[in-house]
Amino acid sequence: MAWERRGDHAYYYRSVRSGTRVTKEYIGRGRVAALIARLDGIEREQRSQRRDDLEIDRQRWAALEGPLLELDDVTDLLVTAAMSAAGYHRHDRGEWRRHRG
Amino acid sequence: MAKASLRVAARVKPGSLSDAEDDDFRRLLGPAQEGDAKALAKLRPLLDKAEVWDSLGNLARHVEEAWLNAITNSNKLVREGYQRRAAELRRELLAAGDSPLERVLIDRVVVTWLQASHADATYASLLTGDGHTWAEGKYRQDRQDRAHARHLKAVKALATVRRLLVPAVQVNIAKQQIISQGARAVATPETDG
Repeated sequence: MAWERRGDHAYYYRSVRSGTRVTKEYIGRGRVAALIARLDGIEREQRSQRRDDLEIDRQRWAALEGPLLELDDVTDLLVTAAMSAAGYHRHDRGEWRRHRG
Repeated sequence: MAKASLRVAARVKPGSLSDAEDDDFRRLLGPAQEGDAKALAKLRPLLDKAEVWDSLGNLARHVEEAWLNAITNSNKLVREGYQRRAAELRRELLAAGDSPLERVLIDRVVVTWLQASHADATYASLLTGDGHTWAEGKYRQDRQDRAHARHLKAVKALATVRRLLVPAVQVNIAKQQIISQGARAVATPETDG
């Protein structure tokens, strides 16, 4: 998003993405364009804030999930050890089956 | 799998294994987690020696506490509600004579239930909030899907262990159906029709 100055006037443009292409869209000039530019700025800030919030949330979730994954892995290993000791096996993480013979 | 091995190795009680045993433990973890019977047979005594069971109980309590804090966000009333529900769930699943493995599996069911509840609540609040981006929606929905999958896996593991490792005997006497699993006995009234 940018202002372009030509002669005595400034013209406000927005960048519009369509697929991989980014094109310029003419919005206007004068007070209305200034107001739209301000609103665009607020929207941009809000989007950036939401992205930051999402990233913080992602990090918090990952920190909480870490010990749970640890519990998961150790428990899975103990189940595998117990099942194997009782004569069961499983192929490619499928159902447990008793060894023949 | 390498990450998973590291997570398991972190549960070894410091000093419980000699250097050689510790090397064996780490070497055997990967194949054992893949279900290699020989590796599992060699690893089993090391798992006992490394006191993984004791450390697991502490880990489960730590994980439960952390999720309770995250869900309730210092609201004592909400916390009380979740704590009661978690205790109820644990009580429903526990049976007299449960093996240590079953108790660990029950702990896992409880903590994965807490995680899934938190994922549900945060996704619901996003949907009822004042709009969200596609990325936010996808992230929260994926997170919810993963949490539910993990909970189902935990429930399935408990059911499998109880079905295959605990011998079950069923006897019908009059209208009482007696289901005995090892030393345990649960009586359920038989429904008509």
